[in-house]
Amino acid sequence: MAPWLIWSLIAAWALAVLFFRLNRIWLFYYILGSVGLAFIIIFVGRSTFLEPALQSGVASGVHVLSSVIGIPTEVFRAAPGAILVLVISQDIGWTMLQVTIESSGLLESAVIAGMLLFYPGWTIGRRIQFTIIALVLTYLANVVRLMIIVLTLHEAGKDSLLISHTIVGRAVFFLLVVAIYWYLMTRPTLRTVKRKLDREMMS
Amino acid sequence: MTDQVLGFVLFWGVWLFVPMLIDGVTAVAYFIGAYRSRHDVLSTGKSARIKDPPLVSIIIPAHNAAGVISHCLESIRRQTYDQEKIEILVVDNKSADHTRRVLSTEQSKPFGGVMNWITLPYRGKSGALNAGIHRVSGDIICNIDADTVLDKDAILEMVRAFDEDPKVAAVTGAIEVLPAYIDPATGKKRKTHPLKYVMAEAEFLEYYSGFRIGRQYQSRTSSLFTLAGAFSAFRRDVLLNTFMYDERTVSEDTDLTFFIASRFPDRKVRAVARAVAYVHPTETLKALYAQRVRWQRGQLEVAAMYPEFERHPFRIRGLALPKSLIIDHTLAFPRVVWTFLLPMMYFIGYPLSLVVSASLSMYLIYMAVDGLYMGVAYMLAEGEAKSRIRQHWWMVLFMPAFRWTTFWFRFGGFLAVMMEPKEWRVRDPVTETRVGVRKVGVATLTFLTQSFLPRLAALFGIVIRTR
Repeated sequence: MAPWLIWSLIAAWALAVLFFRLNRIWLFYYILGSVGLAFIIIFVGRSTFLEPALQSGVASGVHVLSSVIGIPTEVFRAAPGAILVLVISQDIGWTMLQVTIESSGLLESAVIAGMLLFYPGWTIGRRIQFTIIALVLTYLANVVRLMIIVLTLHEAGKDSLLISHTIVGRAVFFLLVVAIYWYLMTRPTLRTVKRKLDREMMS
Repeated sequence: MTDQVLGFVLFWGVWLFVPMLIDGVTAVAYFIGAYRSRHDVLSTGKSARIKDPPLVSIIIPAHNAAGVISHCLESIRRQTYDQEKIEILVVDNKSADHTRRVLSTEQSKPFGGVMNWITLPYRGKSGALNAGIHRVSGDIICNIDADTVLDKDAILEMVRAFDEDPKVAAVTGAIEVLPAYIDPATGKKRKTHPLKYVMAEAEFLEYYSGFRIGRQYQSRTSSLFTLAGAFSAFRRDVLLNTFMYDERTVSEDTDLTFFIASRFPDRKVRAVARAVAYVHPTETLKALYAQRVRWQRGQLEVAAMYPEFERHPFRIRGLALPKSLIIDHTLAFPRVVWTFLLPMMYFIGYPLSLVVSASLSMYLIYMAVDGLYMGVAYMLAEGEAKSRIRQHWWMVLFMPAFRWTTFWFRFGGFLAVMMEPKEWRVRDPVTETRVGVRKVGVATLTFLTQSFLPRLAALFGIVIRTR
């Protein structure tokens, strides 16, 4: 896509978000703002260093944690996101895990950034603070997900890869992310609403 | 391809798939619970007599209710409960129509009980109910909406719930939505637009499964957290020990239920499926939007006012509110983003056929969940409701779309509660956008004609004269 077209689309998106914001049309403002930003982050992430950096970061995190619990792994600078895991059960040997878009956490990070940065009712400072916390926690949750896969692979062999990757790892990641959303969105929202109602009652 | 679709749904559709899965699991739990306790819901015809029927005071707040209040009062006069033990108080809160004239006519109609009405100089349902509570003398105080019609056994079944268990502090009736072809003003059949027809049937099924299955389950597990604003009843001693209907939130009935649950932890709040009240369906999508925004806003406001109930959101037992907050609020945000992000997966390299197949699969799963709800509702239904569900089996095709639409409406409530004051008048976003575009158009035109063009003309030495 031509750069001028991309910039025009981004400008149109920003104007539309501003229109809904100024007219207090919160539903459209939030949908357009959060979805648009998530898509921009994904688009930029995929076409720049961001995704390889994230893949490499996740792989390194898993590598460090694995060495702490005594599972030999290897990561390579030339292949960001690739982790070699020593499998000790059944066919002893090495298995290579590749951190792709499905496990880099890029999409999930983009979604939570969009959700938080456009959430109305909080100051921009608070939204940025919560977004940073959310991104760090999402990264950690993703590392935990991959650790489950590494651990299962190491202990139960290569046959366990599908179930640990698609179901167990994903379920654990999902639950952790729901907890992040609860503590960073729903609970603080309840506090904000309580303060607002108290203020309205006082006036 | 099937594996690919499944993998895609599990991986990227998880934020859309899990709320659906929770609905499915809930439907199965409700199904089992409903089957085991179907005798509580179905009328067995061997209900015991109430030995010493208490005086029941029915308070009806009425604002511009001239067109509907007669049907409501008529349904009370037809009650099988001892009429001498019924006291009606209509609280007219600043009606601008001829509600008072209708009430005078209604008062002269034969009735074994007492009927009174008062007029208040201010609007507001909570104020009307509170004013009424102080003026009635019944042991059971029941409130119904002016546009509600009671089933002939509704009051009897309500009182029976109090009579059978002294610990019961409050009871909610079951609300049933009438078909769209019944005119609210005349009670007669009328021509209906197909969209209105489908909307009314969807609301009927939603309410029917909500009251006959959902609230029954919550009632049995002591986790019921909201009473129907249109038809509920309280023991007088309990009600007078509360703040009654408080206007601090937009959901005064849920607020009151929470207050009872926190103040009287050993008392019970029950849902009685056999105490049926009929309401008319929401007439337009705009009205439906306003209703759902208010409901969702009310849920969040009440939850915020009682932080003790949300300390253990992941605990299985306890009030259903924290759990429904996780489903309704916490999961709603990623669901919003993923709804739009999923189709965009095509742009990051996934085949279009895969994205479309996964989306269709999810709709089919939703249809299966709704089919299950309809099946349970059918099992628990009787008489006309049963044949209505049977005749409208095809609604299973539309129910996911209806729930999807109301999901967005409810989501609007989550955002409104953060940004708008309580007195805010709910207006749908489409109308608001139209108004906004018009404002921008007028501002642009004003700028062009009064500022830009005169200056441009001045640059070329042209003088524009306006009359």
